[in-house]
Amino acid sequence: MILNGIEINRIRENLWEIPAVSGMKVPGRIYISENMLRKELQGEDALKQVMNVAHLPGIQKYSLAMPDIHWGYGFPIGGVAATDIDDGVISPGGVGYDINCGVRLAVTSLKSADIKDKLPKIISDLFRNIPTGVGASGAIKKLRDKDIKQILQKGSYWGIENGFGSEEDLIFTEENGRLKSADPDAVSSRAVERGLDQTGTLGSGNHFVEIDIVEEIYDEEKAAVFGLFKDQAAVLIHTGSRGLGYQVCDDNLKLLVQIGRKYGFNLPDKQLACAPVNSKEGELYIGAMQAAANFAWNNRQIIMHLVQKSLSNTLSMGKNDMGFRLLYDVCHNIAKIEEHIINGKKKKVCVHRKGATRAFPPGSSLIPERYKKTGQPVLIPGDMGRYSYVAAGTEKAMEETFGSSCHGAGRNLSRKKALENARGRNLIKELQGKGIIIEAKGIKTIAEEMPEAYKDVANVVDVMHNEGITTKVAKLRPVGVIKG
Amino acid sequence: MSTGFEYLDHTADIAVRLTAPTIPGLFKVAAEALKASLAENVSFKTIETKRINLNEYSVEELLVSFLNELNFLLSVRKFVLKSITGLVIEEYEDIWQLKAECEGSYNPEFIPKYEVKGVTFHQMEIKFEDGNYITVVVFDI
Repeated sequence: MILNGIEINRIRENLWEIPAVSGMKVPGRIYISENMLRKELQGEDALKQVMNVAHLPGIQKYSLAMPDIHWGYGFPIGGVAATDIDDGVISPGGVGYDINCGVRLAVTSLKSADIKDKLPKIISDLFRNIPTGVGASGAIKKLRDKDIKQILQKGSYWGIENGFGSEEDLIFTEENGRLKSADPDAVSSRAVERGLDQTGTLGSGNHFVEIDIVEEIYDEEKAAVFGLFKDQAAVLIHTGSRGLGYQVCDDNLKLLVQIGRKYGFNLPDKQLACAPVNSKEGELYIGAMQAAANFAWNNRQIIMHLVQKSLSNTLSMGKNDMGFRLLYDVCHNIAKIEEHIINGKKKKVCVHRKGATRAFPPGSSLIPERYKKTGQPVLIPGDMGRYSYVAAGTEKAMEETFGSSCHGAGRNLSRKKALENARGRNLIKELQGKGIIIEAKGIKTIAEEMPEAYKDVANVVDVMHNEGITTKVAKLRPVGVIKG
Repeated sequence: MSTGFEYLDHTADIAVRLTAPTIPGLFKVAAEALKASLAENVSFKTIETKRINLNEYSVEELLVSFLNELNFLLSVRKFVLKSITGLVIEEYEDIWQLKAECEGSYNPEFIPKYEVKGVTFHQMEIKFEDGNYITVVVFDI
């Protein structure tokens, strides 16, 4: 078919290919249903961005997009690309501004009935205890520059060393919450200043802390290993590296736009600015990006600890009494050096995941022992009025998508359109009618983030499930949300 | 074609089309668009001046740097912009230079309407059409 003037051919039920044309080094491949393709990508620039990414020097196999694909900068959101580490490039546009934006899911042994009556207080206490919104600060004691440098080096280990959680949390965090090649000295003083008082803060936009109830189990065996059961209360946290990560992206994007001239790259979009992975500039960005990723993991670690403390106070129960434990933490904006099979041979590549989640299979040496038989938990948040999903990584993901899957729903309406749709409505009451309590900094945030502003995440998750990239394990239904 | 800025419909972020008869005019319109996106109903008690000096390899890179500088001043240093004065933009031996004085005031209580993560290079191309310079800027929020 021709969509937006682009030839796109069906490979399988939910897999489509854009042939390599005019400067594309590889074809583009998009995992999406025909209905979503026609409805959601009609008139969107996202397909063009898949083609643009295929121009990156050293790109391997395909420029990929997950079913939550939508218009981004440089890369589409939902874009995945692996580049050769010897003659390929790394691009901040393949990571995004919110470096290591990600999700963590903590589970409890509590059931919905155990929290139902106290839910309004649970949410108001969480809202009071976790700084939210634009410019949120002051979650923990004021940090000094040298503390930030340590966080950049140590990631979640800093949080654990300073009493914000337990060592077990590290086991259940992707990369154990720390990328070891982080270079705090590659992070500018301006980035440190921007993130100085933001450790332990949620931020604004689509970031949230949510109390969920496990509504449906799809795979009993995997759910049991993950520690999930029907009617269980859980906590989903979505945030990233805050201002520090934004500035790391800004700083390096600027540098790499300039450096592109030196290397003679001819790319169709400035936002794809890049440098050879093994160049001085590439290594500088990797060091800074990894440091920002560490900042984000520590941020989610501290927020989870604040959530646990808040719940303990509200429910008068200790952490163990609540059965509170981290199920997993995944990032969905990152570039990492990983080993994958390319043309039958093991090869180290730089995997960019921009709005895509790592989804490693059973047996992977990079996932916790507990999940060796199930595959890595893949956390896919939806909107605040419907549901989120837990899935598991598969071998097919390793074969086809460099071990990657979708990351969320993706916006359906612009903020302006959402505000228009919200006019004259009481969204707080509408959500209450669905059994969801919400607290946010302002009514405008609730309007902009209203459920109908997002696509139905179930469609996204089903594409990945039906194509065998991830296996659905459980569906979570929100009952309480705090937002910035 | 009218000069100034207009918001474009964008699914996730803030996109603005900028139009002005001169390059410095375009930069001033860009500053106005950023300010309008982040601040509203701001009162200024004392006015201070903050100088900005930037050098970049292209006029587009200069515009992105300029807006990122203003965003940093506003969002992080809480310097709320009132106006840009003495804006000079020159190209010399393939380097684009900007000098500007930002008038405004420091307000530690200021909270921007949105958190602009960065000013993107997406679709960034300054064109001259029908007597005006035109470009589109996307603020990632």
